[in-house]
Amino acid sequence: MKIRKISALLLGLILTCSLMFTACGNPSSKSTNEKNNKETAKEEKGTSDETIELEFYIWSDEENYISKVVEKYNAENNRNVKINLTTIPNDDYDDKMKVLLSGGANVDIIDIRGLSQVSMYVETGTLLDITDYVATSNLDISNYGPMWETSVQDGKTYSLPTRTTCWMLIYNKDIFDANGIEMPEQLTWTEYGELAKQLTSNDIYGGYWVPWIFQFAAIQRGVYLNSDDTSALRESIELLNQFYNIDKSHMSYAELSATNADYLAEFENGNAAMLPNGEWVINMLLQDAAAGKTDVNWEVAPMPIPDGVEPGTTWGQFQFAGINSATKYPEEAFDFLSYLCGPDGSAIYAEAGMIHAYSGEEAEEAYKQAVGKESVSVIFNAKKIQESPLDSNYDEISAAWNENVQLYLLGEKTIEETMDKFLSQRESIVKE
Amino acid sequence: MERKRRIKRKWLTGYLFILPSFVGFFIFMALPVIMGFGISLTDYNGFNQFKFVGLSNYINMFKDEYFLISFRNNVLYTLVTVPCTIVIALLLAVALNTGIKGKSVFRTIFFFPTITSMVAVGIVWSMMFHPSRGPINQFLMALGVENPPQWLVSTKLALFSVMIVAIWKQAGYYMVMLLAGLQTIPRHMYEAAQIDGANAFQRFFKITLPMLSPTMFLVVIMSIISSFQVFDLISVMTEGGPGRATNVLVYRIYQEGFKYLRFGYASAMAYFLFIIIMIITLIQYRGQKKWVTYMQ
Repeated sequence: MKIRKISALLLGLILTCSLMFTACGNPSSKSTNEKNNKETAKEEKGTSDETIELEFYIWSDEENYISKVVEKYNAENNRNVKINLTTIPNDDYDDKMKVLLSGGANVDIIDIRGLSQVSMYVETGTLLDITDYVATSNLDISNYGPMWETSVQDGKTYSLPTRTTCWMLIYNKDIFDANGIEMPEQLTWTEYGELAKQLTSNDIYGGYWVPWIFQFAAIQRGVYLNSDDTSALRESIELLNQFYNIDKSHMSYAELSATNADYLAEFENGNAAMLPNGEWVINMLLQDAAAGKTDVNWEVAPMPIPDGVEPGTTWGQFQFAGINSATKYPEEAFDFLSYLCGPDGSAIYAEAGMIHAYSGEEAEEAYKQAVGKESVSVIFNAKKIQESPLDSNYDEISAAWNENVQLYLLGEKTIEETMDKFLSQRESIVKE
Repeated sequence: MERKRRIKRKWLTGYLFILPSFVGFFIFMALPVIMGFGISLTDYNGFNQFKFVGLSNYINMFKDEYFLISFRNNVLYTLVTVPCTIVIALLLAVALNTGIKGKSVFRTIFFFPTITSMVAVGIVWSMMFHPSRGPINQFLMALGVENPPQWLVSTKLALFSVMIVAIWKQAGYYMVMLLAGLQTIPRHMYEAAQIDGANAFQRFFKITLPMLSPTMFLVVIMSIISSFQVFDLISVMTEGGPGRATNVLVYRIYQEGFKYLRFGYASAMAYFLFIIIMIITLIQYRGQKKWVTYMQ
C-alpha cells in the first residue's frame, strides 16, 4: 500500500512538472539565452553594478546577423549598456509584438518589418520621436539613399532603416548551360516568360514565383494598390496567370499554397531554373552551401522589367528599427540604434552576407568579398522602388487584394470580376 | 442557538472552499466578460485610442460584408458538423455497445483523435489534402480519377475539407459520452420489448433514443457551442482562405482585433457570438421539455 501511495505521488509530481515545462517552453529557452549573454558580458566587463539592460525584440529570420551586432555592441560600448535579444518566430512576429506593446511589456527597441508596420506604430504612439537625436548624431542620412524620403512622415523620424531588401532574378547556371542559353543583360517580362517556357521540362519548372507580392509588375511602374489607375495591377496578375496556368512554366498557385513549398529548397534541388526573389536568398544560399546542404551553381541577374520601364528597375523596401516611446533609457537606446543602423551595423551585416541600408563603398566591397560572386553587383546598381507606400489602410487593402487575386489565380473568377470586386472592397475600406 | 451557529459555520466552510475557484473565475472570466462589453462600446485600438462610440460597432457589424460572410460560413459549418458528428458518434457507440470482443480496444482507437493536438492534426491533414502530392488525391488518381477534387485550394470544397477533419477529431469524444449513456439503459426494457415482438429498428427508436436523450441533449449543446468557436483548425489549415471561403466568426474576430487593431469592433463581434450561442442554448433548454425524457 505504501509503495502504491508513493508511486502515485511521484507520478502526480512528474505530471505537474512536465505540464509546467511545456507551458513555459519559450521563456525557459529565452532565459538560458539570457544566462549565456549575461555570463559572456560579465566576463568582459568584470562586475559592474550599474549595467543598464535594454530589451531588443527581433523576428527569427534576422537572428543570425543581428546577434552578431548585439554581441559586438555589448562588448564595445562604454555606457555600461547590455542589450538582451529576444527572438520571436517570423509568422507570429507582427501580431505578437502588437500584443506585447499594447500590454505594456518591457520593450525598449523594436525590429520593425516594413513601412506599413512603422506607420501603424506611429499612429498608435508606440514609437519615440527621434528626429532630434538623429540630427545631433553622427549619422549621414544621405547614405540611406533616395528610398529614405519615402519613409519619413511629416518631417519627423520615428525609426531608422536596418536592412534594405532588393528583389532580383536568381538563376541556376548549370541548367542554362545545359540548354546552351546565355542569360541576357536585361530581360523583359515577356522574354522571361518565353525563357521559362523553353526551360520547362518534365522535372524542371522554368521558374518559381512565390505568392507574396502579386502586384510586382505594377510596382515597377510606380503603381500601388491604392493608386487610381489600376491597369498596371491588372497587367501584373495577368502575367502571373500566364506563368502559372497558361504556360504552366511555374508551379501553379494551387500547388504553391497547398504545399507551403520551400521556395529555396525547390531552387537548391534544381527543380526550378529561375527564382525571382529577394537578396536574403543569397544569405540563405551561402549558409546552406556552408552546411553542405546544396551545391547549386547560382548567379544573379537583374529583375525582368515591364515594357517601357528603365532597365535595372526593381522593388525593395527598408526594414526598420525603432525605440519604444515608453522606454526608460531613450539616450542609451538611441546609442544602440545608431550603432545598429549606422556604419558599424553596416560592416557587420556585410560580413554576414546581408545588405545594410547604410550604404557605402566599403560595405559593397565587403559584401562582394563575403559572397564571392561578381554578379551580385546587380543589387548595388538596381533602381529600387519602395515596395509599399505610407498608407495606414494599406494592410487591409493588401488583404482584400490578396484574397481576390487568389481566386483569380485558382481559376475561380475572371479578371474583370477580380478587379471589380477588389475596387469595390477597396472603396469601402478607404471610406471607414 | 448552538445549532444555528453550527449550520452557519458549515455554510462558511462551504463558501471558503469555493472561494479560491470563484476568485479565479471572477478575475479571469466574469470580469473580462463585463469589460469586454465595455470595450465593445468604444473604438479601442490597444494603445492610445479610447473613445466612447455607443452602439455604432454593433450597427456597422451588420453592414460589414466580411462579417456577414464569416457568420454565414460559421452557420454552414455548424449545420453540417454537428449532425454528422453526432450521427457517427451514435452509430459507433451503439456498435460498441452490442457486446463485441475487443470493445475497449475499439473505444481507445476511436477516442484517440480527441487527445491529439489540434495544430498537429491540422498540419498533417493539410498534407493529406494536397491536390497533387497528397495521399488522398494520389489514391483517387490511381483509381483513374482525372481531376480529383482540389480540397483546401478550392473555394467550394475548402470548408467541407475542414469539416471532415473536425468530425474525425470529435466523433470519438461524443461516442464515449453516448456509450456511457447507453450503458445506463436497463436491459430489462429491451428484453420486455423483444418479448412483445419489437424488431431491432423499433427497439432503437422507441427505447434507445428516448432513454439516451439526456446525454444527447448534452452532446448537442456541447457540439454546437464548440462549432461556433472553431479557430485553430482554420488558422492552421487555410487561414480563412482561399479568398474568404473558410473565414469563420472567431477567425474574423482575431483578424479585426489583432491584425487591424480594432479591439472595440472585435469585442462587439465577440459579444454577438456570445449572444447567439446563448440564444441557441436557451432554445435547447426550452425544447428539453418536449424531447428529453428523464427516467423517474
